[in-house]
Amino acid sequence: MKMLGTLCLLGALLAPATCLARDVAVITQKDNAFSAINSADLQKLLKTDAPKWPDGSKVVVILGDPGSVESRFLLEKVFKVAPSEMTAFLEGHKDTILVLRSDDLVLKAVAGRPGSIGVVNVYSINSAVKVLRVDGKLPLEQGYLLHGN
Amino acid sequence: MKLLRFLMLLVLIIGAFSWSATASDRQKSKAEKKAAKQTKAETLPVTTSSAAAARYFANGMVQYENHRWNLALNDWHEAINLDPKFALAYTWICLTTTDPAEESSNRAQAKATMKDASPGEQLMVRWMAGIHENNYVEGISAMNDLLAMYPRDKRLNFLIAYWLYRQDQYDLAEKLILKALAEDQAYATAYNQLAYIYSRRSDYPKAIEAAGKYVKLLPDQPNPHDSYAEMLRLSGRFEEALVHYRMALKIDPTFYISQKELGETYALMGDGERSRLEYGKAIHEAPSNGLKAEYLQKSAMTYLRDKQYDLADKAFLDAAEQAYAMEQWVWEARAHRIMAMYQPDSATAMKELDRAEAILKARKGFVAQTDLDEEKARIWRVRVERERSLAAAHKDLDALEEMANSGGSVSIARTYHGAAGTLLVAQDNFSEAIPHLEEDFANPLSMKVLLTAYEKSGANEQANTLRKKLRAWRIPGIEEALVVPDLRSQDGAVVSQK
Repeated sequence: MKMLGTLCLLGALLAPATCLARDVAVITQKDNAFSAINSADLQKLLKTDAPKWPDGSKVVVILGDPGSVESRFLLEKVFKVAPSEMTAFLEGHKDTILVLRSDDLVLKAVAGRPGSIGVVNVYSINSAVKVLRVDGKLPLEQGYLLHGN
Repeated sequence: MKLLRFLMLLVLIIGAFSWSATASDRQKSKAEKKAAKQTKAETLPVTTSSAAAARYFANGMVQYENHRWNLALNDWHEAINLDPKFALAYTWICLTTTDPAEESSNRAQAKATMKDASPGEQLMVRWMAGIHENNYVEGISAMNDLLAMYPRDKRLNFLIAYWLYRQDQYDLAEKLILKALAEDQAYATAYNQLAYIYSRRSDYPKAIEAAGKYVKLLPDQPNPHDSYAEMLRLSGRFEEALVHYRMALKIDPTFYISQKELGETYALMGDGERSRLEYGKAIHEAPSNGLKAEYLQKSAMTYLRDKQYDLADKAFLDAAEQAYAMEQWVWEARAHRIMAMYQPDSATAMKELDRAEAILKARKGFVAQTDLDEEKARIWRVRVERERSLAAAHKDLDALEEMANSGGSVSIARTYHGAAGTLLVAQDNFSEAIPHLEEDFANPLSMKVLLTAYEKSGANEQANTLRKKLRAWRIPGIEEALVVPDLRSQDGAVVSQK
């Protein structure tokens, strides 16, 4: 029996994929006062040696595996770093970017570290973190910046 | 009274109604015996004031695992009749029904009754409500909190994996299915899920192997044979697929899905006449008017594959009339929209689109808005493709974009991207067209235009991969019928209609 089509009235558009859409969530600690960030501010976070939130508090960026779709999205789309430059880029930002192995670890690290910001697949998020709006939009909303195939 | 109800609920929660081991009338397979080893604390509780309702609910979950959606819904309807405050039963009706009105009213009930349910059940209601109300972030967050609360609940892992699979999240879905199988290696439905995940990655040997395990565990059920047949068909083994579809029907002659799949398989094999014969039986067996209307159009599509356009017109007009008689307005509009898709004359096509749009307009308020909007979006996409001036096409596209931006569904967003990419290719703007067309990644019409865009922009590797995929596409549908047979016969020569 169709695992897919039975639940869709006109389900042809949800058929098997040739490539997959992915939305990356920018997360922060639940108690963080900020609920939104714009892409320009997000970009600035790594362009300075000591990135700070608009209120002056320090920011630590936490990424999953640099080869993961989520990390590549952030680095390519926001920081305009080419895939070939990623290793050098991360090496040069050791103090401000923490690299972990998986979404689960990123979620735990962000939840327990005030002022941190992380990126994960939106389907991995939980209530221990807050998902930030980027340029006014949440993941899975039409026109969200960190969406791609 | 409040205290009494609280005590009753407490008894039932603590009692026996964890959802994986309550149906006493079920066959006690090895799988279920092993499942019973999971302690109550490890599985999501089921809160109800009625023991009979709990039994109906549990039986419905088993039906759901066996993909007998209509039977599952019947059980859950019985459950809420017995306990009108049964939040979890309302939730599962919402997650299963294809009737938008039923979904909406049950969602309201689930939310209204959740306060008496356990924290885990409340998370499940929040998950369902979030994903059905375009509040995905909250919904997904509740879903993962629920999983964290019951990480060893094999059924929960399976159910969430199934939802993730339908969101194209194959890696996450696979992870949860493997967790479910780690709890119970004989959890049959998990192998079914695994087979579909592998098939989405075009890994047909592994898909067939997983579906084979599903058959082995449940040889007397129709669905395993149906799934196995589908994996065979996807890999091009049509004759073997037919054997297993027939086996499913032999086990249960009322298993209408396999009857429909026989029609689909013959359609893909190019045997229109036999296909219509099998679809005819499926139309007769279909348990709802919505399915009958759908299958009528599948049957009409066989004439398109044979390029018998006059007969196709006749069949689609008949399908539209029957849809009207069955009060299936969206299907009625759809028949006219499909007719517009293959008409050689643009003026005729536009008339059909006007007719389709007028049908939807007249039924506003009688049909779920989401269904109306999604069909309207598809009509507008065909308008973009069939307009005789670029200015008119841009106007249609702007309307479609507005609909997508105003909180439309994922389907509407994909339809918009497909239309936008097609229009850009028509203007030779290939680089801007590509990201749009890649969004509509499962629509052979968009894939065909994307192929042109890749070729024209020198992306030869992507073009070759996509051509291979399109030529091997074996999922029947209107877009497939209009694109794939021609592509195969042209041996890869693809020309954009624009």
